[in-house]
Formats: sequence, structure tokens, C-alpha cells
Amino acid sequence: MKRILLVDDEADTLRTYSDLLSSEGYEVATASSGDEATGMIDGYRPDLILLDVMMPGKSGLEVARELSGRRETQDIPIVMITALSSVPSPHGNESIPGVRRFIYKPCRPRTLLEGVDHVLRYGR
Amino acid sequence: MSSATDVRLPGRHAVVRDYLDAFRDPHTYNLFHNRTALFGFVWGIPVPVFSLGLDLLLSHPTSLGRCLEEHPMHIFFLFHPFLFAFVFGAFGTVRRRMDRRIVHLVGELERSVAGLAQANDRLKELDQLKAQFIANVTHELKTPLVAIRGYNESILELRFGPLTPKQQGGLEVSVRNIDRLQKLIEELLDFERIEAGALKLEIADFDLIPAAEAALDSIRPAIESKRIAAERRLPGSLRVRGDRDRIVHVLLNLLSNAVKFTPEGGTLGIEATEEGGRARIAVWDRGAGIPEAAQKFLFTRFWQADGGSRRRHGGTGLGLAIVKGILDAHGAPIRIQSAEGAGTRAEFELPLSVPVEAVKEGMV
Repeated sequence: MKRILLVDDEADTLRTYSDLLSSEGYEVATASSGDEATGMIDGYRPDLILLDVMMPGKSGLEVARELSGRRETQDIPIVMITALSSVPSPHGNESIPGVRRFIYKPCRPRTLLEGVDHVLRYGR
Repeated sequence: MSSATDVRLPGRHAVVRDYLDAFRDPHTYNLFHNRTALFGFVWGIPVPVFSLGLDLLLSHPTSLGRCLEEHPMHIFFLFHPFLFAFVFGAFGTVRRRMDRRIVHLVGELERSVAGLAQANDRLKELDQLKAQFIANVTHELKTPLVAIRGYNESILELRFGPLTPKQQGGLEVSVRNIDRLQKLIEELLDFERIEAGALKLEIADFDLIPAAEAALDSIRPAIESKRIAAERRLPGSLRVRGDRDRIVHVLLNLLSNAVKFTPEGGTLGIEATEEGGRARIAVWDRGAGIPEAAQKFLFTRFWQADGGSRRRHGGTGLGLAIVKGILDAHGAPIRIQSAEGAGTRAEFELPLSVPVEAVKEGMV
């Protein structure tokens, strides 16, 4: 069973997507902030991280950069999920290490599941 | 020159003593008139004439009087230095006043330029705030939709168990309206971006035909439910240059307008042709058409031809404003021909793929 860490500051989003992912047979853990996510990652060792961009405190992009900077976590694929229409990158068009794809919320359940499945299978 | 000096210097005393004689002597008279007056005018400060006039005035007032009786016009001659002084003085005063006025105006100008710059900065700041605000509002509007859409669709897809037909029907309506709401939010955001000139195009070569088919597919349910015949006059392939997703958006908006204004069982069409190195794309309908008086408002945001038609046809009135914004960003003006009762035809052109780019793409 593949393990997914879902990070979002919206409790209802966490619930919606963890129900959806569980119904597809994934094991899901949730974190409601960037700090919570980085704190639990070593204990949980997920196969993939679904990471919200706009969160109070540490933003999703900062979390992604932090994780990609550590040897233990740099290989965990990250999928950013965002309600922004375009993600403002602080470093121009330079891609964020570790981030394999963006999924724009709200999306069809299928879009999210296919995205997750594709990244787990092919790594992008 | 030297003769004038010769005459003038001794003449000064001679003339003072016997003024009229000097004036009656044609030689002195001519010299006096022609040279001195000339110098006087040329230099502006006719010293000899000035002193002559002054001497006469002081020492021989009667002689001067007699002279002036005989030649009244000499008054101007004798006193023209004062005239000069007066004119130049007046000129100087006027100039000083104008200078002061100019300095004042320049100061005022500088102040208003500074004021404008300040206002401009403030506007830029407000613009940024507005863009930020809209981005935030859109984010906030979309966030609840994540859960609404996620659960409705998951349940409709039977992920959480079976449904009765009634539950399923109800959820379908629900999902359709979520789609509508989300589209509206996206449209407002798009519109804001276009307004702010922040629309970023991703220009690339693409095949227009699948893009047109995709747009047509998106409105197929609406076409079918109104039993509209869609005429396609599209070549097998037509490679153009532009932002594919935005062009699909344009076609989708034009097509949904066409569907909206085509009566049940009517006809609409989409065409693409290659003409003079450009692709010409047209969407037409045989619907009610747009009254001539209304055509100039077509691209005005939130505007709809028949105020009451909003209820009949739905929509925000942003569709064509967005179409125009996207096409303008492509440098491709849209042309709309419409006749009341005969239908409407919207047309625009895109450049064909650049051959060099095509080669590069082929090599990659």
C-alpha cells in the first residue's frame, strides 16, 4: 500500500482528499502546516507528498525546498496542489527541486488520482 | 566716418551757438540727419544727438524753440533717446514681468508634475493591491469549492457506495452547477488579468484543428440539447502560432455565444482557411443577430445586447471582452459582422507557424 502525506491548512480539503485517496486504496496521513509536515516526515516516510502552496507560516514552496535539501527526503516526489491559478515562483521560472507536477484545485477526483498514480509510477 | 566725427565734434559747439545756421547748412544738416540719426538708431544710444538736445535745452531754450517752430518734427529727433529709453525700459519691465510669470509657471508645473508622479505611484500601488485582492478573493472562492466538488463528484462516481437514481440525478445537477460556478470564477480572474494587462501568453506552434475540435467538444452537450446542426469547414491540419489554451478559450466563448443565440433546431458553423500566409478562423450563427446600434457595445464588459436577454441566455457579459483581450494580446483583432435577423459572424486571423521554428521543433 502506497503512503501519501497530504499537507493543507484547510481541514475540509484534507478530509475531502484523504477520503478520496483512501477510497482508491492509498494510506494517507495529513498535516495542516508546513512545520507539522517536516516534523512528521522522518517518522512516516511517505512515497509521495501532496503539498498545498499557500499556507500560513511556511509556504508549500518553502517546504519543498527544505525537503529537497535534505538527503533523507530529497527523493520523495512532491505534487503541489494549489487554488492559485498560477504559482508565483520567487526565483523566476526556475523549477522547484522535488516538485514533479502541479495540480490545480478544485479539480475532478480523477485528475488528482491520475496525477498521483502517474507520479508514483513514472516519477513525474 | 572720419568726416562725420570732424563735423560732429566742432559742430557741437558751433551748433549750440548758432543752431539754425548749422541746420541750414545742407552739408551739416545732411550729415546730422543721415549719419548721427543712423548711428542713433543703429546703436540705440545716440550720444551726440542726446547731448545736442540737452545742450540746446539748457543753454538756448529760445533757439530750440525757434528751431522747433520751423521744424516741429525735430522734437522726435531731439528726444528720440528718451523714446528709446522709454521703449526699452517698458520692454525690460514687460520682460521682467514675463520672467517672473515664467518662473512662477515653471514652479507650478514642477509641483503638478510631482503631484502627478505621486498620484501615479499611488495608482500603481492600488493596482497591485487590486491584483493581490483579486488573487486572494479567487483563492478564497475556490477553497470551499475544493470540498464541495471533491465530495459531490466522488459520491457521483460511486466511490463511497451505491446511489439511488434520484440521488444520482440530484448530484449530477449539483456537479453541473459547481462547474458553472468555477467557470465563472475563472472567467472573472481571466478578465481581471486582461484588464491589468497581465495576461501572459505562451506562444508556440500548434495545430488549430484539434484545438477547434476540443472547443466544439466542450459545447457538444449544449448543441445536442438544442438540436443545433454544427457545420464544420476545417482542413485536416492547420499549424498556427499562438497560445493554444487561450485560443481554445476564445473559440469556446465564440461557440457558446453562437449556441446561445441560435434557436432550437438552427445552424451554426466553424471555419478555418489559409489565406495569404495567415489562418482565418470564423464562427458564425444564423441567430437573431445584433442590432446595429448595439454593435459598438459588444466588447464592453458585463454588457448584453438585450438587457432582458440576460435571463433568457445567461452568462456574465464577460465572454466577448475576454475574447477581445486574448486576441488583442495576440495582435489579432476580431471582426464581427452581424445583421439583425440574419445572424452573426466573428472572425480573426492568426499567423501560420514560422518555418524556422518548425524546423527546430522537428530536430528536437
